[in-house]
Amino acid sequence: MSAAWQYYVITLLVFTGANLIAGWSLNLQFGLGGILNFGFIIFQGIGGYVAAVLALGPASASGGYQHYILGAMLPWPLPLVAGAAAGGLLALLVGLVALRPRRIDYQGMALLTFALIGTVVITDYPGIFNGDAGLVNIPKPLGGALGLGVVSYGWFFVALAAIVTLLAYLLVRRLTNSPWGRQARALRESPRALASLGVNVDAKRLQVFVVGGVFAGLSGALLVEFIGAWAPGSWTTDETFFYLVAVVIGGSGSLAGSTLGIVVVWTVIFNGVQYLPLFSYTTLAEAIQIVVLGLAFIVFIVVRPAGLIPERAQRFGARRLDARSGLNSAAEVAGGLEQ
Amino acid sequence: MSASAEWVNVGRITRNREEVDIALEVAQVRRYFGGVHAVDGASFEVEQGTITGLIGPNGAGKSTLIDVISGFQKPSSGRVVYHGIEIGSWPAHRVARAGLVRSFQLSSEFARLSVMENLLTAMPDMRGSTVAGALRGRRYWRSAQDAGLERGYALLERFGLGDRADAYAGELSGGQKRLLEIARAVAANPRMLLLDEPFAGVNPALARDVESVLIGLRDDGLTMVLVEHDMGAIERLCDDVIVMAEGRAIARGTMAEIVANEEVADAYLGG
Repeated sequence: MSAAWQYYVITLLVFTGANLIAGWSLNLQFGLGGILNFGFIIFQGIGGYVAAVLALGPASASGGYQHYILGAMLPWPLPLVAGAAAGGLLALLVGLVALRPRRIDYQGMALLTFALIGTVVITDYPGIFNGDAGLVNIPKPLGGALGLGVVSYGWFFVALAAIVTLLAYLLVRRLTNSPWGRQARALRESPRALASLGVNVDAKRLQVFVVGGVFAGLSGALLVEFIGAWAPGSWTTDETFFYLVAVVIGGSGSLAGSTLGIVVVWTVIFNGVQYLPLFSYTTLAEAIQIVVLGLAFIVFIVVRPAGLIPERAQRFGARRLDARSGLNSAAEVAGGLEQ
Repeated sequence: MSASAEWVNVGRITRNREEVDIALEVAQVRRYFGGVHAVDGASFEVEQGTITGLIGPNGAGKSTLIDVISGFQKPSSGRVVYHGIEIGSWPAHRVARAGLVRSFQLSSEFARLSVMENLLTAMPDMRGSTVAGALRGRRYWRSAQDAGLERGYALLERFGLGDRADAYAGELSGGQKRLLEIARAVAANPRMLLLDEPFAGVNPALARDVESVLIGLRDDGLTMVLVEHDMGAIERLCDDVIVMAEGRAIARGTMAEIVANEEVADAYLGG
C-alpha cells in the first residue's frame, strides 16, 4: 500500500475513534438522558483547545506568532485528560443555566445559543485561542521521543487512539448498563415520575450532561493531538447535527446503535470521501453528503425513529413465584417498609 | 354553596387527638393560580395506618392538593406537616425520600423501560445509581439488583403483572399501567401513599384483587390517601372519607355517614 493510502487508512481509523467517543457522549446525553444538546460541538471544541495549549507550552515561548491562554507543556497523557476535564467543566457551567427551563425544547435552544455565542467569542477574541486562525504546530504525543517517520508514527497513533477509544467504550458501557443508566432513561421518559420516586431530577440531568461533556472533551483532545491544529472551523455547529444524525440513524439510546451510526455517517459517508487520496474534496461533494444524510435523517425520524439498532430494555425473564410458599405475603411485598 | 363551606364534623373526627398518631396534617392550605383558588383553605389530618378517601366533584381541588402535599406545587399559604415535620417547602424528590410517595392521575410509566425496570428504578439506595457506583461495574451492584429483582417479582405477582416483567411499560393496557404505577410507588418503600385515581380503567375483577393488596399494605402499617371516583372502592377500602368542594374539606366521616349527610349531597349536586 502506498504511503498516501496508508495515511488515508490511518486518518480514517483515528477519526473513527474520536468520533465514536463523541457519538457515545451524545448518546449518553440525548439517547439516554433525553437532553437535546444542540450545543454539543462546543464541548468537543473546548477539549481540543485545552489539550492543545497544555501541549504547546507557554504562549510567550512560541515567539508570539500565536496567542492563547493557559499555555503549558505537560507530558502525555495529561493534555488529553485535561481536555476531557475541560469538557466536563464547561458542561457543568453551561448546564447550570441551560438546563433550567422545564421544557426540553427550550433547553435545546439555550444550548444552541451558547454554542453560537461560543463560536463568535473564540473567533473574534484572538487572545483566548488565537481567534479565527486557530492553533497550529501542536506537538504530537511522544512525537519527538520515538523518532518515527510520518506513516510509522501514524500507525503508532492508531494504536494510541485505539486504546483511548476502548477505554472510553468500557466506561460508557458500564454507565449505560448500570442502574445509573437506567435512571437516565427514566429521566428521559418522565421526569416528574422519577421525581415522585425520590430522585433529584435536576441534579441527575446535570450529572448526565457533565459526564457526556467529559467524553465530548476527550474526543476533541484526541482529534487535536492527531491533527496538530485546531480552529473554529474544526468545531462548527453543523457537526453537532451530523453527530445527532449518526446517533439517531444508528439507534438513539443504544450503544451498539450509536457505534454503527458513527461508522456509517462519519467514517464511510463523511471522512471516507473527504480524505480520499488524489481526490479533491469539493463543495459539491460536501453538498451531496449533506443532502443525502439530511434526507436519510428525515426518513428515519418519520419511518423508523428507533434507528437501525433500537434501544432495548434489559430483560430479566418472566418468573412466576407461585411455587414458592409465603413469598407473596403482604410483608414480603412491602419489603423495606419501615415501622 | 355557603352552607356547605362549613366544616361538618361527623363520625370519628371527635376522637381524642392524644390517642391517634397523625401521619399527615394539612392546615389551611391554599393554592392560587392567579385569581383561581384551586385549593382554598383545606384542613384535615390523616391517621397513621389508615386508608383515607378523598372525594368530591370535579374541580374540587383534589389533584392540586395532592400536588401540593407531594411537593410538585408549592402552597400559596398554609402548612403541610408529615410525621411532625413541615414539608410544604420541600421539593418533590425530598418528600418522596421521606417516604411520602404519590401516583399520578394520568399514567406516567417509563414507557420505553420494561415493567421490571420501572420497579427497579423506584427502589431507593440501589447500588450503581451514582456515577461512581456505576463505574465500579456490575460486580459492585449486582447483588443489590438481584435482591431488588426478587422484590420486584413478588410485587408484580401481587399486582397481577407476574408475566409482564419484560414487557415495555408502554405496551401495557391502560389498566395494567395503573397497576404498575401503584406497584412502582410501593417499590419506593413508602410510609405513606397518595394515590390519584388508581383504579381508573382497571377491570373490576383485577381492581378487587388490588384492593386486597392495598388493605394488606395498610395492615402492615402503610398510610394511604386515595382520590377515587369509584364510590364502591372507597366504601370497601377507606377507614375515613374526606369530602372536598371548592378547594376545601367540607365533611369527614365513614362512607355511611357521608352518604347520609345532606350538605355533602348538596356539594355533589352543585347545590
